[in-house]
Amino acid sequence: MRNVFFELLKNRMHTDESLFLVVADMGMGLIDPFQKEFPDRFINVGIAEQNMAGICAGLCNVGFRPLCYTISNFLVERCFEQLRNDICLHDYPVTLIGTSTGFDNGNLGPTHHIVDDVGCVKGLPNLRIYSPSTVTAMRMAYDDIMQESKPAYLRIGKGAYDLKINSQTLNHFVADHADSDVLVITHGNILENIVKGLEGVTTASIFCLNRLKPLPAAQLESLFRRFPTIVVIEDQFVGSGLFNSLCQFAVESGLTGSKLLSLAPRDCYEDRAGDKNYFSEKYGLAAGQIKAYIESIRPGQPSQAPAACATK
Amino acid sequence: MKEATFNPKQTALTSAGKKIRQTILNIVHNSGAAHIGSAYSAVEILNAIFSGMDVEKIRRQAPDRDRVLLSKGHASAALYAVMHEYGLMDEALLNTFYKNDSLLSGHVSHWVPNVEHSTGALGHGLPVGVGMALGLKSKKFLTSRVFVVLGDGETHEGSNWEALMYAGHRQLNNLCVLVDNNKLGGVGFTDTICSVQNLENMIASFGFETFSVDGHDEEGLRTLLHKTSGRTSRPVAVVCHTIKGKGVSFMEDEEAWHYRSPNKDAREKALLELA
Repeated sequence: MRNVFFELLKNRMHTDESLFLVVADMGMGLIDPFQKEFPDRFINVGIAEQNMAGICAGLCNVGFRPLCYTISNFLVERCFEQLRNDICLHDYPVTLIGTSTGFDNGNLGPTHHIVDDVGCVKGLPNLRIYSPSTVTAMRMAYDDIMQESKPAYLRIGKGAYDLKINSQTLNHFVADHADSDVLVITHGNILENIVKGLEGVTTASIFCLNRLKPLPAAQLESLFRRFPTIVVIEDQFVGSGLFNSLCQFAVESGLTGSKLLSLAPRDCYEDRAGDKNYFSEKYGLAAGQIKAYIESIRPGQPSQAPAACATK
Repeated sequence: MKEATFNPKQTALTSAGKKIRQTILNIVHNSGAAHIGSAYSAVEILNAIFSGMDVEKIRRQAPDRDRVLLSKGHASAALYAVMHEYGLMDEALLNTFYKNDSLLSGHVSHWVPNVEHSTGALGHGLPVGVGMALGLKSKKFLTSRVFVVLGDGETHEGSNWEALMYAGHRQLNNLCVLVDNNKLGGVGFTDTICSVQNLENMIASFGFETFSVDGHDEEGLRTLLHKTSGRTSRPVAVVCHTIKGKGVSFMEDEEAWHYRSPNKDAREKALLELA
């Protein structure tokens, strides 16, 4: 997905001279063309995320529209105060491009697990947050970002999962079954497991919320009114990800008639190495587990998340 | 690096220095604001910077204007008083300083007309200034400069060193960093907390052309800033040796005046010294 993004960006930089790419020693094999083709609009600041974020704010002050790029957790957590004070407070249109999401880097250990990044930044005013599930959605997300002059965080998972989508809308159905009474709402690259798991299952529809902030209130309202059960499946902590946002949305909007459930990693720090599939299985997020869970949901009966996901 | 041969404690204030301090005293006293000591140590630094700038370009927000960042944003009273001196802030606004519903908070705010960037959390101004300096060069505004004023205690923040390292590497000769080295932090002397006594050499080692000056010698500062404009291939750092609370004897070098606000009695005594 990131390769596609950088190709997209390179093309845009040829026509939009306000764009300026800043990286923090990341992007092997991707940044060489930028160095060559845009020597005045590309810098690598080294492993210095605070400096990177501050520099982007300064570039905005002189009229650029910078993008900064590194691994998602370093991008938003290492320099949180710079995002808050230098970028979001000034409402500067910096686009934060984060590579890797969820357990993409599972084997690298808990410092590289990206399961709390959305929760970390979603409280920042002005910041728009995008977590596309497919390459197509990522393209739409960047178009959406460029239509507004606002700070934005675009988290890009590893892999290049894509689906043909019959929608011009950024947040859209991936599967819409007329008789379904369960709706899966998801974001990020867990979609692949969901689609695989729910193949042939017509009791559940699937909706990708590729933009997590601001939430599409009208669209969500119609979903909450239509589906008696909504399951949020995501690679974010249950306490701070989309599930948490939708709980607030439902209560504030008076849409508490739907049962709202979560399939997500438990809020904890992992002590074991493991790849993406290892952690998917641990938290019931593998394709077969998702299918079993969705099929276990019965109208009118209480449903619980798998034991591994339950918050203590 | 030459040994400092000056004594900023003995440096006489100019009439401008006294007037700006009177203004600061009044707005801080009227609102009960803190940080007068930090504001007083920065007066000559800010006055020297603004005196060399094309103020008209700031007023019309020309893209090639010089930029000023007061990274030690708690000295906002000094910035606002100096901006008032140069016609960049009217008196009515200035007199609302730190009061309810005013645009003028206790820390520098970009909501205020002619202010480039909000500061307050320390260690933020310099990376932003580096971004401005890079951006100005990229846009071929080659005579525009970026001035960033840091506190000496602020240099404890690591983000400054990320920015200094990169500015030196990129030879950003349009960047001028001025350290208001008043040697006092919030609760003690900087050198006893974590020494930055060797600041000139530390910054020079990052590729800066570094100067050590009397930070209350307004004319000397002005001359130095002018002399270094466009005449060096490296970024410039000026370690300005200053006195916290400079100009009012009972505030000088007294850490209490980092937070204390002058009451009526203190204000009257201070005004006598600043007459």
